[in-house]
Amino acid sequence: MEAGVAIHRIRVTVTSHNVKSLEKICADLLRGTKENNLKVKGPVQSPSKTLRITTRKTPCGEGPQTWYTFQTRIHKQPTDLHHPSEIVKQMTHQCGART
Amino acid sequence: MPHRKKKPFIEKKKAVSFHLVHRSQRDPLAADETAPQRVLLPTQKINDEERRAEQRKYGVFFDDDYDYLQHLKEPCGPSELIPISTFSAPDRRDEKEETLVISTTGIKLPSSVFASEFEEDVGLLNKAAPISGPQLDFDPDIVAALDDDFDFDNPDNLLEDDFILQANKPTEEEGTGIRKSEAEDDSEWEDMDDEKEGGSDDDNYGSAGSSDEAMSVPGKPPGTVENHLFWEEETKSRFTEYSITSSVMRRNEQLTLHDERFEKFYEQYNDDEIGALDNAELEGSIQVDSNRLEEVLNDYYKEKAENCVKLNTLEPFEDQDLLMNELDGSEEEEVITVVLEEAKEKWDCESICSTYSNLYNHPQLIKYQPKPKQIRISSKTGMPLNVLPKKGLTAKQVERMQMINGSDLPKVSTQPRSKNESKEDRRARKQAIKEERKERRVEKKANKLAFKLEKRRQEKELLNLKKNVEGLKL
Repeated sequence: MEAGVAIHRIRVTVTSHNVKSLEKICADLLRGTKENNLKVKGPVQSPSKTLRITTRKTPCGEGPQTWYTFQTRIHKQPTDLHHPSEIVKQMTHQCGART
Repeated sequence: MPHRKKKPFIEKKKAVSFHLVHRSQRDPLAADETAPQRVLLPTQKINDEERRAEQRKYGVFFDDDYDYLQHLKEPCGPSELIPISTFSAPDRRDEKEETLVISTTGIKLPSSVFASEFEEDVGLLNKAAPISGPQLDFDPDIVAALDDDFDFDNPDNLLEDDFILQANKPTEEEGTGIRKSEAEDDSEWEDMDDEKEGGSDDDNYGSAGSSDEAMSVPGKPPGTVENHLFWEEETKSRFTEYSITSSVMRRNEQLTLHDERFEKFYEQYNDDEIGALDNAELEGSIQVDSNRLEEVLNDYYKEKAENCVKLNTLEPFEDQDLLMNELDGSEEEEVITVVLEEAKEKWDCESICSTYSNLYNHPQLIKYQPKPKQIRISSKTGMPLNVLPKKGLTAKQVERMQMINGSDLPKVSTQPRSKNESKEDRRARKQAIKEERKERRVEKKANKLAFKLEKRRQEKELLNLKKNVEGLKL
């Protein structure tokens, strides 16, 4: 944490089920940062986790052995920023507005 | 992994992490459009193991990742109220952003990014919500009026509609004014609520009636002839005797006026008003040839004459105008009227019959049925002749016919012998015949052999079946 210019190292992790909205937010973040000419390490695509639930379709045990496979994918994109304090406010504002 | 060996971007021990959440509705800045609607909420980093140990203290023995401590918080005790002497925060906010310093790590961030320090009691959305339940800030009489069981005809229950005027009037008139307006209201209310609670109405009317009787003696208050006070009104009329039905009949001012007028009018017919009835006597006899009778008879004849239609005055009624004209003009002219008969359609039986519905009527031509032929039976088969369709050729037969068999080819033996036959010819012919016969013999032998073999095979099969299969029980 550098005290002088009060630039913070911020790691913003955006998590979502929906890839498109995720990408959008990260793009907005990037854009905002680049306008202010700040250092940014672009969004890193961490591997998306799949939560699976596999259950029998039937409520009883009878019948052909059919299974449901339910899936939820969690996508995570951490972005590293070097932002001063004032920009943090702007960023939260923007992030909020976008979603 | 890209960051493994390099220096980590953020030192975890000194780091603070936040969640970006919506601003609370109770936050006063929620209504502010310039303030960001998302705030940073610091996360509580608590070790799993520590948490589980803490949980076990309270009897929660689950070892999963869920924080059960959030449900185990104690309700906050009685809080102390400290009056705020000065509220300096908003003043400063106008000038510049306050920077909030997070105690643990010394990170400085603008304060608007975090939730406000104090929260209102009622959130923004809750303020806009409609209020349900008992509203104690309403006046008790209004609340009573909103209630379902409200008795509108009780004079004590009525609300004055012109209460503002009343409030503005000087107090001396207030006494009579109130009573006046009450009476007016009464008559109006009478009209509107006749279905409601007839029982209570009746009670009121009954009591009013009885009190009325008592009060009719003092007479009407001075100067208020038109606005009879409710309890002074005579509910007994000429026609009714304090009856319940007449009291609940729908009556507004005009109708009441009408009733009163009628009563007044009917007073004319009081016994003492009607004079002597000398002319009204209907008994007595009259002479047959008296004048009066003759006049009556004449009147009768006249009427009859007008009504009856005489033949010589009959005219073809075409038009009212024409009739008038004819009466005016000369009646000697003969009016030739050409009667146009409508083109009548000529019907005959067949067309009439064809108009009948075809659902029930199915006309047909009568068929000629000749004498039925006698059925003859063939002696051979015993089946009636000429009844069953004749069998045509089967497919196989047709095929065979089309095939060219060896038997179709002209055989030498069948060809006629020409007359002038030379020796060689004769020899050739005879030789050919011999060969044919030879071939035929070979054919026959082959056929016989084939048949024999087949027969033997089938017999064997049958025998086998009989021996092996017949006795088997499956």
